[in-house]
Amino acid sequence: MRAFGLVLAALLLWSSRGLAQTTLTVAFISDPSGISLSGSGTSSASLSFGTVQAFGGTSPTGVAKSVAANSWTLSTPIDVQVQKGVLDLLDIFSTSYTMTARLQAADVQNTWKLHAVTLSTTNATVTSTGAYSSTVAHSFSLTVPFSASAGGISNTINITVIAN
Amino acid sequence: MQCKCVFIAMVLLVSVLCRASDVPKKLDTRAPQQPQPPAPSLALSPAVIMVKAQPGASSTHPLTMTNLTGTRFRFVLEAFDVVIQGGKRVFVPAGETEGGIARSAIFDPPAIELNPGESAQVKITLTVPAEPKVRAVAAIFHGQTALPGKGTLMFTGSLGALITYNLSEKIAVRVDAPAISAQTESSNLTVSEHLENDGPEPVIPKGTLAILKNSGELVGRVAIQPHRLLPGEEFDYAVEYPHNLRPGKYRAMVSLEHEGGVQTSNIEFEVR
Repeated sequence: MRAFGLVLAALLLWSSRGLAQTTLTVAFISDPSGISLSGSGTSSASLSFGTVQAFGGTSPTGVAKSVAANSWTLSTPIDVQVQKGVLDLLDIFSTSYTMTARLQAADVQNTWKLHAVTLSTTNATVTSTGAYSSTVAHSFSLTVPFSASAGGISNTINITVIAN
Repeated sequence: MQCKCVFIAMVLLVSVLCRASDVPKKLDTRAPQQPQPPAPSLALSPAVIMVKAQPGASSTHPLTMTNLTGTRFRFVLEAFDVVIQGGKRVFVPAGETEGGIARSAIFDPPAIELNPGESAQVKITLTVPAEPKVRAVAAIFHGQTALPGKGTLMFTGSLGALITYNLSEKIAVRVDAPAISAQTESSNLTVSEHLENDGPEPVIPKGTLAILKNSGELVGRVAIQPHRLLPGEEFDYAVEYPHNLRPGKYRAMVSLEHEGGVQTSNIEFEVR
């Protein structure tokens, strides 16, 4: 009887939501082979490369450094997890999501990338077929030209998730 | 309520039917996916709204953002027209698309701040222009909060609700001929097809892949997941038949159902 009541309550709750009631959540997570994120597992995270240099020195754990003719690049994987609400398993209308990214502040000197997508202050699509509930690793890279003078570099990447 | 119970029963029935096969399923050598606990994140509901309207009509939709993190978050609301370029979706800022709907967006309130655990509702009012050229708007809650500190890089999450418009009954989906990827020792048979929404309205094709013997006897069926296509949008789907097929001649029949009816295509193949 109690089980029947629970099923009835769940059905009533679901029926009041409408068929298109998808709930989306987004979280950034440290990749096992990448740099550790501060705020991992939440919707606002940060990372710090510390003090690094093109030649010599050491890079933080999980960060790869490569040097080209005119620039050098730091790269690391970052995980993003997008989920639909538990009650939306019956929602058959949104089976994937689009993820876009943009820089909060323009940077004409350095190149910020997620995978092969170069980021700017305009939204760029990183994936248009993201799978719900799976943790997806995204390769982040920052390329600094040799012409840049020493100093701090910082920016914010705004990741936007939209149901398809 | 009664309709939804019937719908659930139909979904369960279809899922049972789709398990039919003549040979046991191949062993899946991939690592099993463990269910993951929900992250302390941001949640937006609803994330998809489907509107049937006429040009000139206005409608208001409540959107609820919940802050499940331990950080105070601030969001600014923005509307984008979702247009298709090269078969893919592009999010264009309001006012930059001729015949766009996003330029009419009024958010009430236009920005919110949420303490940990708090929810807030924002109402978006949209008006379809007299000659609309787009059929979808993304209402974005742009996160303005970065973690305090001196990191090289901060990530801030934003969530967007997709609002689609069906303004007429004109539906047209172009379905190319299916293609077969033969089953091997390590992979299942896969049937793929290219779809394009040729009509002016959004459409959500879904369907079934049926494998038939040469005699016409049904071997098994697999459900084809629904996939929303905006006008002009293209999609390549691939459906894997999860069972081994014995040597012989077969026919793969694909039935796609959408608001405009049912489209069927088929292809013959042989398993050696």
